[in-house]
Amino acid sequence: MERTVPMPKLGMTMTEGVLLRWHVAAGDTVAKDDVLAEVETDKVELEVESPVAGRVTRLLAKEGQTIPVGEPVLALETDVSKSSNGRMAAPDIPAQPMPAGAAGQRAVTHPSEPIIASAAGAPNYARYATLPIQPRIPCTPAARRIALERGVDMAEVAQALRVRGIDRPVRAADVLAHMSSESNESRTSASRALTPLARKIATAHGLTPEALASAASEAGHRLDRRAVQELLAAHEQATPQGPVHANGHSHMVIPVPEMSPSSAASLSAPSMADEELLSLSSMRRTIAERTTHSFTTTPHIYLDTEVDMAEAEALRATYALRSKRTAQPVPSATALLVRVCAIALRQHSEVNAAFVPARDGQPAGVRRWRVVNIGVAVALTDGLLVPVVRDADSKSLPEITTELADLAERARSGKLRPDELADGTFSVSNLGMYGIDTFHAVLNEPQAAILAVGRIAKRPIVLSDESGHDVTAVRPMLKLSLSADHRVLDGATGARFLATLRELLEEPRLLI
Amino acid sequence: MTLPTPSSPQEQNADAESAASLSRHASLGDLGEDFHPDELRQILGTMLRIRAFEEKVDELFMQGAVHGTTHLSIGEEAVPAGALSALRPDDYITSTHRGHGHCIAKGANLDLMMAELLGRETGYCRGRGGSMHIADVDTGNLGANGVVGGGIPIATGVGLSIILRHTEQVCLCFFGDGASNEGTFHEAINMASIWNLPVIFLCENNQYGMSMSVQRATHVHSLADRAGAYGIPGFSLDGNNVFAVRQAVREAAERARAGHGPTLIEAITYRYKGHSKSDQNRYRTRDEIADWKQHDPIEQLSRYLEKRGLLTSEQIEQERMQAYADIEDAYAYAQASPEPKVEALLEGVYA
Amino acid sequence: MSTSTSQQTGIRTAAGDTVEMTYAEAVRAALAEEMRRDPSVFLLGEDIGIYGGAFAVTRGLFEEFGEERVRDTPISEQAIAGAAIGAALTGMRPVAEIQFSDFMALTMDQLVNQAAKIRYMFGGKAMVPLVLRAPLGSGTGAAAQHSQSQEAWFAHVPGLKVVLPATPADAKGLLISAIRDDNPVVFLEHKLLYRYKGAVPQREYTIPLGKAEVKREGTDLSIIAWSIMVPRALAAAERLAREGIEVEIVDPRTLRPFDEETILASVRKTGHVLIVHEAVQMGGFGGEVAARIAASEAFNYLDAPIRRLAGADTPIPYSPILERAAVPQEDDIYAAALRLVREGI
Repeated sequence: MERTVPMPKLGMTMTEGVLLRWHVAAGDTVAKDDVLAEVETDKVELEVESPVAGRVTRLLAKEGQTIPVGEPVLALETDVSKSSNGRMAAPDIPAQPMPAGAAGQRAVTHPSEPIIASAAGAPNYARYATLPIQPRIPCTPAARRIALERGVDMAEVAQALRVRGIDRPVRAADVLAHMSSESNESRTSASRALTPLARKIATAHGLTPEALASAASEAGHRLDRRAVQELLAAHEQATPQGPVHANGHSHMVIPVPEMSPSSAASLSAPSMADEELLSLSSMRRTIAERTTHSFTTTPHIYLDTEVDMAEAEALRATYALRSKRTAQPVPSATALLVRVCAIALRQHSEVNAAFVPARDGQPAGVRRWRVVNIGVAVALTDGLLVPVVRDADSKSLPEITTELADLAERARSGKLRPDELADGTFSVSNLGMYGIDTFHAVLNEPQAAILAVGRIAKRPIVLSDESGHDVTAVRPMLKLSLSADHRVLDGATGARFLATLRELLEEPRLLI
Repeated sequence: MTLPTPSSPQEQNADAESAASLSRHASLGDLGEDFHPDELRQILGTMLRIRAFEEKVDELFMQGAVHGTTHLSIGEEAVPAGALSALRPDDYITSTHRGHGHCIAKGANLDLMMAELLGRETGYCRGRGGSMHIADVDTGNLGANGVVGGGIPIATGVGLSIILRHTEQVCLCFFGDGASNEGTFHEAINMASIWNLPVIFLCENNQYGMSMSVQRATHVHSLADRAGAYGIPGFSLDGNNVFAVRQAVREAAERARAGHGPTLIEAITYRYKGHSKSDQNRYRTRDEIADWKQHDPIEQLSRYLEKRGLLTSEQIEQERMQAYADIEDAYAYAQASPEPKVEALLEGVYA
Repeated sequence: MSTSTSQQTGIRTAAGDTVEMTYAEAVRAALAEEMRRDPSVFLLGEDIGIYGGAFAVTRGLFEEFGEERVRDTPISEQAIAGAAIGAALTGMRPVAEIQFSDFMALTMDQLVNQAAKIRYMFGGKAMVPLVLRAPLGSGTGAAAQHSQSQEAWFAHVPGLKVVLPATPADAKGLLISAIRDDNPVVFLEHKLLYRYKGAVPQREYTIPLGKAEVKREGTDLSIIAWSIMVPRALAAAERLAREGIEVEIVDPRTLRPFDEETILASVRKTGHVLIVHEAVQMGGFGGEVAARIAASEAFNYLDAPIRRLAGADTPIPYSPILERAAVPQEDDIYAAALRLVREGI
C-alpha cells in the first residue's frame, strides 16, 4: 500500500522547509530510519528519515523546492514482509489526512481576541459608536463623570476656571460649583437636559425646569429644539389657558411672554448666532454661589414700609447749605440710611445678628454682634460689591458720608482691600438712583437682615390734619423693604426695627 | 545473585560484595534466571510499548500533527522497564522531560498519554501538560519535568513525606547525566542522605546533555562516583541490560524500605534520536549511533528470551504486533477525543 | 500600634476575648496550633530547631514537637523548597522557612516552575499545599542581600498565593488559612513587624486569603498599603486627621488572590488614591493596583491621579540614613497624602 512522507516539522517555529537533496530515487528500497532527503529550515539542515520500510514510488518535490510542513514530498509502497535491521517494520498504518495546520485550524475558530473576553461574551462595540466624542478637556475622571451625569458642559466649567486664572484640570468640586452658580440663574441641573437652543425656547415659553426634567428623563436624552416644541404643543392641548405656569412663589416664576402657541410652534430655528454663551467672571461666580446658597437655604421674609422723607430731605438741604461754607460733603440718602440703620440696630440687636447652623456636634444658635458694621451694596458694570462701614453706630453722618464716598469710589476702581469687604453685620442696598421704587433683596449671608432702598419720589398720601380729618398731601416718599432670616427673627421684630427707622427718618433731629 | 561493583569507597552496605562487573556491551548474562516467563514477557511488552509509543510520537510530530516539542527515549527502554519492574505499585516516581518511558513503565494508560500528547481534554493532564508534564499522581507518578534536575528535590521531599507518614514506600527519582551537574542534584541528594530518606536516585546516562557529552561535562570516571560525596551507595551499570537495572533498583528499594537511606544508580544507555526535534546530530557520528543499535535493549532481551526458550520468536513477534496495535488504538482514542474548551482555560490554576 | 477592628473578619467581637502578643508570637501560635491540630503539618528550614529560627519565630516549637516535625535543614534553599513540594504532593502540609526573603531567589525554580505550575500542568489533578514563610524588608541594617521586598515577583506567578500580614491578628489568622490552603502560599513577614504588639483573638479563628481589610475609615483619601506600610500609614493618617484630612487605609493583606472590590469601593468613596509599598516602585505591585483602579468603573470617581509611594530604585543600602531614605517613612506618607488631597497631584 502506498503512503506519503510529508515535509516534517523539525522545530516549534518551522512552517516550511527547502528540500536540499534527495538521498533516494524512485524504485529504491528503504529501511525504517533510512535517510530519504536533506531538508533546510530557517535554522538548520536536517535529514528526513523514513518512517517505515518500503519502496520509493514517487518523488513529489524537486531539490531546491520550498514545501510547507505537512505537504507530501515522497510516496512509498510499504512492505511489511521485509524487516530492517533484522526487525519487523512497524505494522502498516493507513495514512491519516493530517494537514500541518491541525493546530492552525483550531486557532481559526478562536480569533485573536482576548480569550477571557470572548469566554465572557463579546463586548458590544456598536454601543460605543453612538456616544459623542468628548472634546479633550483636561479634567479628572470624577469631574467628567459628574458632568456627564448632571449634563454639565465641561467646556463651560473649564472656561470658567480659566477666567478665574486657575490653570489645572477640572475637578469634581469645580463641576459642582459650576452647577450651583448655574442654578442661581434658574438653570437648574434639570434644565441642563436641554440643548442650548431648546433651553432658550423653553425659557421663553415658561416651561418649568421640573416639567423639562421629567420630559428629558422620559426621553432618556437631552431634549433638542424639536422635542421642546413638541412638549409645548402637548402642554397647550392639556392646559387650554396656555403654557405652563409655575406656582406663586415669585422667585420661582418663569416669565410667560405673550405669545400664541401657534407662534411658539412655528418658531423658526434661529441660527446659533442668536445667542452667545458668556463665561462667569470671578465676581459673577461669587455672587452666583453666595446668592444661590442664601436664597436656597435661608427662609426669607419681606417687610415693606413707606417713609415720609420730607424732614430728612430738609436735613440734607441744610447740610448742602452748610457745605458751601465748610466744604463738607453733602450726605447722600444712602449715608443717611446707614446712619439711621446704625442707630436702629443698636436698639434692635436682635436684627444685628446671624444664624449659626448646627455644626461639629454644637447645636444651632443665633449670634448677636456687639459691633454694628454696615455693608453697602455698590453696583459695578457686571457685578456688585458690598464694602463695610465699620462701627457705623459710632460715626457721624459726615464721617459716614465721607467714608461711603471713598469706599464706593475704590469699589468701582477695584482698589478695595479684602478686609473692607469683610465682617458686615447688616447690609443696605439702594437702587433708588436707578429709579426703582421698591424691591426685595437677597440676604447677605450670614447677616440676618438686609434693607432694600428704593427711590425717593413725590407721592400723594393721606394725612390727618390737626382736627383729625383726612387730607391728601404730596410728600417725598421712600419705600423700604427689609429682608430678614426667619430663623433669627420674626415679622414683628422686623416691623419694630422698621418702625424705628421710619421714626428716625421722619424726625431726623432725633439723630442728634 | 550479583550486583555491579559499588563505586563508592565509603560504601558500607552489606550488599557491597555483589560484584559482577557489567560492560555495556556485555550480553544479558544469566541475570534473567530469577524471572517467571510471564514476567519477562511483560517486561518485553513494556519496552515494546515504549518504543512503539515514541515512534508514533515521532511520526506524528514529523507530520505536524503534534505541536510543541518532544524528547524521545528510543534506545533507553530497559531503564524504566527494569526499574519499575522492581518496585511496588504504590511506590512513587519523579520523571524527566524524556519521560514517556517512565510513565508507561509505571503502568500509565496509553490512551490517556496519547490524548495528552494531542492536547485533548481526555489526556492525563486535560491537555494542559503535553509531552513534558505527563503525571498521574493517584498512581504515584508525580510527573515529568521540563526543568533539568527540577524533580530531584521533589523526590527528596517525597522521601521525607514517606518517613513522616511511616509508610514503607520508596520514591524512584529519574534524572539524566545533564541533571547530575545541576545544583539541585547536590542539595537534594545530600538532604536525602542526612535523613536516610527512601529515595532511589536513578541517573539515566544517555551520554549527552543535549549536545554536551558526559565526558565533556563531568570530570569523574563514573557519575556513580559522586555517591561517595554523600556517603551513600553508588552503582554504575549497563542501562541496556534490563536485568541489571531491575536488580540494582530492587536492592536499592530494599535498603530504602529498611531505613538505610538513598542509593545512587547510574544506568548507562543511549538515545538514538536527537535531543529534541531540532537536533541535527552534529555532535556525534552515525557510526556511534549504529554501534549502540547493535546493543539495542529490546533486541538483547528478545534474543535472550528466544535463546533460553522462554518465548518463541512467534510469541515475541506477537508481542511486538500487539504493542504497535495498542499504540494505534491509543492514537485513535486520542484523535476521537474532544479538544479542551477555551472557557476552561483558567481551571486548575488553584485548588 | 493599635490593632484593627475588623468588619470583615469579625475579630474582636467582644471586649476581653483577645490577648496581647507580638507579631512573631502570633506567627508562632499559628504554627503551634496547626501542628497540634493536624499531624500532616510540619516545619522545615534553616536553624528553625533548637536555635529557634533566625528571628526566633519558631522558638519553643522544637521542644514541643521534636526534631521530626521541626526539621533543621542544611543550607540548601532549592532542596528545602523542593522537599516541601514533594512532601506536599504526597499528603503532607509542610511549612518551610526561608531565612530571608532574599534567599527566595535560590528557590525560584522550585517555587515558580514546580510548585506553582504542577497543579495546572497536571490538569488540575494534583495539589501542592505548602507554605513558604520568609522575613522580608529593610530597616535592620542588613544591607542589600538581606533587606529586599520581593512580593511582586511572586504575585506575578499564577498558581501561587501571596500573603503579607500587617498585624499580629492578621498574621495568625492568615497563616492558619495559608497552612490549610491546598495551594502553595508565599507568606512574607516584615522583620520590623515581628516586635509589633497587638490584640489577637483567643478563640480559634481564620482570616480568608484574598480578603482586604479597611484598617481605618476615612472620606478624603484612600491609602492602599500592606505589610510594614500599614502601621506607617496609620500613624500618618492620625496626623492628617489633625489637618482635617480623613484617610481611609485599605490593606489587601493578600496580593494573590487580590481583593479588588474592597479597594474599588474605597476609591469610589474618596476619589483619591495613594498606593504605598516598600518594594521598589518600578515593576512593583502598586502598578498592578493602580492599573486595576484605572481600568475599573471606579476610575470615574478619581479626582486626582493615582499616586504611588514606593521604594527608591536602588538595592537597600547599608548606611542608616540611606536605608531610611530608600523606603517610604511615615513623614513621606504624610507629605504625599497632604499634597494629593490639597493640590491634587
